[in-house]
Amino acid sequence: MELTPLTGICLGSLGIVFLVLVYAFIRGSRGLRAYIVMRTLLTIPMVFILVTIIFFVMRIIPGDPVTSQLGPRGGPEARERMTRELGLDRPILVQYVDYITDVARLDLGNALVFGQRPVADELSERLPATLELIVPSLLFAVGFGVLAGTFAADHRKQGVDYGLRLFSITAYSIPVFWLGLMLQVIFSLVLGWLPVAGRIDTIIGTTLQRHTNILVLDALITGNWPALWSALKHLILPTLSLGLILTGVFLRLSRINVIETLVEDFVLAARARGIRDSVVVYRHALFNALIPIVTLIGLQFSVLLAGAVLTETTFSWPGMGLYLVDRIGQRDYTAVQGVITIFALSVAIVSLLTDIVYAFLDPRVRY
Amino acid sequence: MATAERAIDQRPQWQRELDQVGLLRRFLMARRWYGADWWFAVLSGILLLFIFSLAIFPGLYAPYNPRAEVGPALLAPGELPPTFVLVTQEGSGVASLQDLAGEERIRIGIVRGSPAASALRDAEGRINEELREANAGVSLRLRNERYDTIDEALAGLAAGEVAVVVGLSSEIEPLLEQYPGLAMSDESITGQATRSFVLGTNQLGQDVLSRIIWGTRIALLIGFSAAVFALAIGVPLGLIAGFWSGPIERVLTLIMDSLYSFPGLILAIAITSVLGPGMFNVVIAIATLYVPTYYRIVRGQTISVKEELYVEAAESLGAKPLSILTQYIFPNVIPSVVVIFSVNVADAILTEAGLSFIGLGLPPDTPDWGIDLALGQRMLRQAWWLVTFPGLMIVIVTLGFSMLGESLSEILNPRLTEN
Amino acid sequence: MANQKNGTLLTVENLSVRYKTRAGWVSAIDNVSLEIRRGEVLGLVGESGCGKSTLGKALLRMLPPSSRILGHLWFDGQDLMQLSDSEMRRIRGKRISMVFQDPMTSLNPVQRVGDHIVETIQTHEPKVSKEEALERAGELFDRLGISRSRLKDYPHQLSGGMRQRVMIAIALALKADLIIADEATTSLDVIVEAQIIELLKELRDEFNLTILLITHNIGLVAELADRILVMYAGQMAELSDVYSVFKEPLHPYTQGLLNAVPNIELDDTEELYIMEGTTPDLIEPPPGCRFHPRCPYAMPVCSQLEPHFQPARPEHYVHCWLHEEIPAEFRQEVSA
Repeated sequence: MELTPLTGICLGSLGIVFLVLVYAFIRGSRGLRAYIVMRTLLTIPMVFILVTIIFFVMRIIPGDPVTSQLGPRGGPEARERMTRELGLDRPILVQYVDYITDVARLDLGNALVFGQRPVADELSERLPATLELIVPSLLFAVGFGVLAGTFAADHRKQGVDYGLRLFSITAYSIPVFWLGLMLQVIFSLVLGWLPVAGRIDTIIGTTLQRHTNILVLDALITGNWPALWSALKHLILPTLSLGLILTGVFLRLSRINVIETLVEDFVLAARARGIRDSVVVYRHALFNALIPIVTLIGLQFSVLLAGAVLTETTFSWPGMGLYLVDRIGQRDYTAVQGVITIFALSVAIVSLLTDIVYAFLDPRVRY
Repeated sequence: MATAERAIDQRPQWQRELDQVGLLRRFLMARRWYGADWWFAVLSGILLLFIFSLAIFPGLYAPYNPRAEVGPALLAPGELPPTFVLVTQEGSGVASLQDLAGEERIRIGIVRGSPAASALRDAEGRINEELREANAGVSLRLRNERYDTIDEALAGLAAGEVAVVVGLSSEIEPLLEQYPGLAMSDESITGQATRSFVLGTNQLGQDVLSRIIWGTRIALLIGFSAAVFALAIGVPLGLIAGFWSGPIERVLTLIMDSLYSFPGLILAIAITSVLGPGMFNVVIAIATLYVPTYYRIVRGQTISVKEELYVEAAESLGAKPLSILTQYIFPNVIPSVVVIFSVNVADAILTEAGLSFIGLGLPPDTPDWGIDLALGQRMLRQAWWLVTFPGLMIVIVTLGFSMLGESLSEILNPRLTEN
Repeated sequence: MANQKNGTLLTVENLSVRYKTRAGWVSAIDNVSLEIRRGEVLGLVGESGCGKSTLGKALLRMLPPSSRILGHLWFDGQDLMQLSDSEMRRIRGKRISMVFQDPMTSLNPVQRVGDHIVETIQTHEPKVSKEEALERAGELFDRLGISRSRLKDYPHQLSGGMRQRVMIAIALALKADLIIADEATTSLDVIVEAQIIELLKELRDEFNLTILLITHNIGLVAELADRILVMYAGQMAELSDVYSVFKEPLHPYTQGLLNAVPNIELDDTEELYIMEGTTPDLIEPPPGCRFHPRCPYAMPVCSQLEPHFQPARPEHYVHCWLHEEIPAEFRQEVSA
């Protein structure tokens, strides 16, 4: 296995997962250990199934990569050559086994267009951009959603509560790309406060030394303040559009959880001890309500990825999502298959991680 | 035989009673019980009925054919199209095109490439039609003289090369001072008040309002078909899986769980990119996304209902599995399925819009909201309305289905007792 | 303003509590007046729904927002009803504290038990450092017989009895003047209950605590209380010192309560005593004396006119026509 940045990140995240598992294992009760083992073992068949489904979707369903690539122009020789190169002439089962072993080594093949570089390399270049988009969006959604939900729960049945509930349902009904477009119209075209698209101003971008390729981090590391400012400005609208859409679910869940928590006995007991109302609501009730939020983050990760694809398309954000859309347009099946595989793997890992963290956080399960 | 069957009906009292109360009474009584959620459900129901009428009879609401070029391109909402006026020599007595009708051909000056040409053609055709019907015996025959700029055209008019010049009033007005002998007609050559478009036109001259109304039909068609397909596959599978567990069911559940956790849009992208464009393929792709949801919920409910005491009682009295499924489990499952269906349609519409936005799925000339948004994105700087209104439609329709699903969910499975 | 006798800690004056339900206004407490003296244990007895829990919560002004409260609560010279929310909050936990019924649900499942106490201390005495507060918590645990190592445990790791001790520790953390024990032992098994009662007795003597002991278990009251107040349907039925009530229960309801206690020496012929009827509807309470539908000694006046709560014997108050002079128009004709 080569050490591409992609491989590095995958191994790195697997390492983190491993560390979390070990930590939880050591500090946990017998029940928790059993759960960790079971849940981790469960991930393997799930990943297997996902990867298999992807394989079959891309190969079995009618559609011939060779024809789509070469078009009607390709003569029989070119076709034959390409078919052999892609290994499409071998029996399906052989192709399948090859595919599985390749994925295990994170060898995603070579792209069919633009110089036919290894897909893994191309993804490594684009992964930081996607990360730079989804992490702040998720943080925004959780932060804003939980606070607003707690606020709504505290002001139950008042105007603010109904307003926020309406907001959360609406948030889920808005297409993320439309929100992005509207934000572009309002803040870039009409008000001119923020840039329309891209990650950073091109000229300033050339002054920035790339280390991690996460521009905000790189700017901080190298102390390049104009670049930091430009990168942040470019980050605002995409983060806002992706984040606002996700806020709805978190708002709803925290609102319900906090409402249910506020009528519990220990809240009454805390009030009876003279604990301040704001502390009762925003510390005790919120903390109790936070634990299910962790699970929700795991569930929403898929939505986050899907939204990222659309948001990157809207803002010309050069991440893995835009890569997917571009390469589909180019009929580059190898690349498309590679991206989708990586998405599937990341979903499986994030899901495992959130389940473990949830089990760990809830002291009732931990001990 | 009949007594044995009746004895087996072990359903709880409330379920049997509920069967006997009429649907309308239940509906009206619900208002007192459920308060705000009832109103939500009713309001969204009315909204959805309106949306349905848009989808079924788009011709009633849409003023134009969505695929036809009905006006100048990129007209803002409510903006009047540019007017084309006549310029003539003063004292010529020509006030409108009709005055030019006669025996001979009239030479008329226009700017090369100007949209005045097509407007002129329309007007000519219309006037000749009217003249024919009135049996006037004369017709309007025009011969176009093309100039490079409007200035040259006016110069030509002043020099007598042409009898009349047709062009944009906004362009001609400022130049008129230089040509004291020329006069501009008051009305435009179309003669009638020119129409504006409520929501503007797109870069192909199509009416935005008509397009989004016709888009409703496509969206609902795809949304419903996908939901129905997913239901037809997911619910029976879920019932069977919940009822008979075993190795096959476990594998199936694992597959469904894996699919469920995967990002929906991306799976749909994968499927459509391989299947190719077309409405049917989009429906299949979206349906596949939702089968796991129905499966999981139905299976879970089946399992929990199966463990209820009254089902055990029925089983002990010898009820057949099929009748247990239909009599006990199915009615309990229906409320959840209805809620999922509603949310499913909402989600399907969003997913379909996303697919079209990316360029997958529907043929590019379809009046579909997603496609409109993709087209509008290219003209974002010039024409904000191309993006705003189709998206707004998506929000409204999706919101309608979501609200319906939400409030039905509260009504059918009340979660919290509001103290 | 009511007389503040020396030694009186809390004076409840004409307290009435109503709250709104879908079916109408529920009259949970009707015109209750009583005194709690320093250093005493007042037992508040009655069946479910008689208003005793509501009274406990009312003293801390912790009733739900849909309730209407009338009357005065004189505590240490102040009327608690007139205090602002923040002033009342300062009293809760510090001057008046409460021990709740179910310690499992009354403790925050994700907060360590020691932190419950630390938080209480730091809320009312912000200058105290965390270490100091933790040390005080440790001392409390010592006194209550809980190992100090348990300070950092979570509630579900403790047994039921220990949890209840923690609740008591929390109530004692700031040396409150009045402790309200609301069904504090109801959720415990009898052996643990006995231990807790012993503990309470020791603490009472050692710290000179004033306790309002709310319970439906009359036996518990016998062990611990100095005086008993029997409540029925939101009203006071009988009030006196423990011995008098047990030796000579004046109110028919009190008699019923005492008879209902199963006697371990029951022989085969005696049956368990069952009081007739059910708890009254507090939205439309019975007219006159609220107990009359169930009372074996009911007279015509009982269904027409409410009696007064007055001393039938010295320091022994009762709310019953059996012990009050019936007005002339209702007096029964004594038939020959």
